[in-house]
Amino acid sequence: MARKIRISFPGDGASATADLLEDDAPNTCDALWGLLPLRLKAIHDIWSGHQVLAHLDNKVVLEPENVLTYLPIPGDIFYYYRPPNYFRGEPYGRSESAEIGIVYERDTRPQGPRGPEAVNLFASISSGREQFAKACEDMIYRGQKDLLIERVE
Amino acid sequence: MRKMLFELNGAKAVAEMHDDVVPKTCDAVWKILPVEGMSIHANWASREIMLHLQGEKILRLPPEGPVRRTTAPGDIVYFWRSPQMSRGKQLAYSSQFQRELSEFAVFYGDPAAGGLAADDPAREGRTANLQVSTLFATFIDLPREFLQRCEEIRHKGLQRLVVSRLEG
Repeated sequence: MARKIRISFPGDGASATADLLEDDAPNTCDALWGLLPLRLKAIHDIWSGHQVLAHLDNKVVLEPENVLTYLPIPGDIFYYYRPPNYFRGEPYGRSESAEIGIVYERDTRPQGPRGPEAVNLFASISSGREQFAKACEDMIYRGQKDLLIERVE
Repeated sequence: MRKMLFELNGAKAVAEMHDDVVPKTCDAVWKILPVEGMSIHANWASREIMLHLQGEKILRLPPEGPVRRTTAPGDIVYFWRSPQMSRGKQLAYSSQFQRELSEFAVFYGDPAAGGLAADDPAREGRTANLQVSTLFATFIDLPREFLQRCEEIRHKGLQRLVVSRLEG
């Protein structure tokens, strides 16, 4: 049985449960499971559509795995890493970036500064997506939110 | 060339209209100034904020000038999208501008993929006359403070933007 994680916005009371895709991305699942719980700052994406992301410490550099998904579906959760010098970053963005992305609605296509990107899909929301999606979209209007990712045991 | 003043949460920037390239669009925009509202950050086009035109300020203009497939930092684009291009389901579409979209698009930084991402063929309506995108002005005085205010919309949420004529 797949391990599960809970993603939540403590300030909103919105939460969802996701199954880790351990067959597709076993190393990524293990690595991220080992980091939990994570308290991150989530921000709405500005390149990709209906997606929020949370930056990890840039030291969380995982080996590429399951980097296949160009067209995620709602509820998909992925890991993405952009190395230094891939994009100049300044004056706004980060040059190097390790992040977790959460897709909350259709018509989303992960993109970086250079265009469409394949991402490492490692989890999929199995319950609570609708409520969580509303809290994600709300970030367009209200800005960043605290995001908590923890183990469900 | 006529000039416009953009005021975003205390920061100001000045843009010059492209009267010589798209005179009809500039005339139409000039006529509705000043306009103000809560500016919203783009979710697909990267470093872009939008001011949706509403009520009597809505513009429904035909295409004018050269077809541009990319944008550059400082570009200001009049954008219109037909109601049938959006299903109007998302909160962003339903509460702010329903299914029809008429807006000023302000590109404040490097666009994704050199601007091509903002012109996603999958969402392209130009060939079917369902979408109009006209570059009608460019910033000539764009202080860093204004750029920061644009970026802050991502972090803090919607911010009030006022666009007015700059005369004299």
